[in-house]
Amino acid sequence: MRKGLKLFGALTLLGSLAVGGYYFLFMRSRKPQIELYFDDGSMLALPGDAEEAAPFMQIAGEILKANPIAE
Amino acid sequence: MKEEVQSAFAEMLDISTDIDKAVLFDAAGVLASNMSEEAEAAAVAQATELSRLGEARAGEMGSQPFTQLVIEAPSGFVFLAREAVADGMTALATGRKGSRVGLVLYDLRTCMRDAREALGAGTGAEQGKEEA
Repeated sequence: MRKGLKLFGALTLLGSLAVGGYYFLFMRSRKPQIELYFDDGSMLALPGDAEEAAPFMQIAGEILKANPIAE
Repeated sequence: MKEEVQSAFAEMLDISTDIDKAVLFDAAGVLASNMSEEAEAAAVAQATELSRLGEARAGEMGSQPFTQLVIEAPSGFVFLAREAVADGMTALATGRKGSRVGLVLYDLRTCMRDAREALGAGTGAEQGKEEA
């Protein structure tokens, strides 16, 4: 019985680590990279690699290139 | 009056540790900035273009005017907040990776509200909203 619980605990821990690792490596990088907010409180989120996001990303790149972030 | 705007801008930079560079401007020109003069002129043009793109998107969606923008790029964030009126103020800022988006936008809008109060009601939409 105790052995079974230990095994269950170990498997739960491994499963949690696997899910956490998957989220960190894959899901996190897929979050929207552009968010537009409108006067009525609505919001539009675009992934950074979407076609309609390209002009926004291009200008943002130019701004950050001209004003490098001080660490 | 200009000093009060500068003071509001400096306070924003003090409070918001996520903001690195920022410029506040309206139709008459730059009101406050911590960028170099050269970067400042380019940033105003780029912010104007971002506003135009945002407005175009709002038009396509049939939504209310575009007011705020957050862009997460590989090297950091770009934030834009603007008054939703003709010739209103716009604030553009760059932010560090991991910036707290909500707080930065709040700080930008607070700075614009304080600057608007210092400049007088004028074209300020924000003041009208607060009174409503």
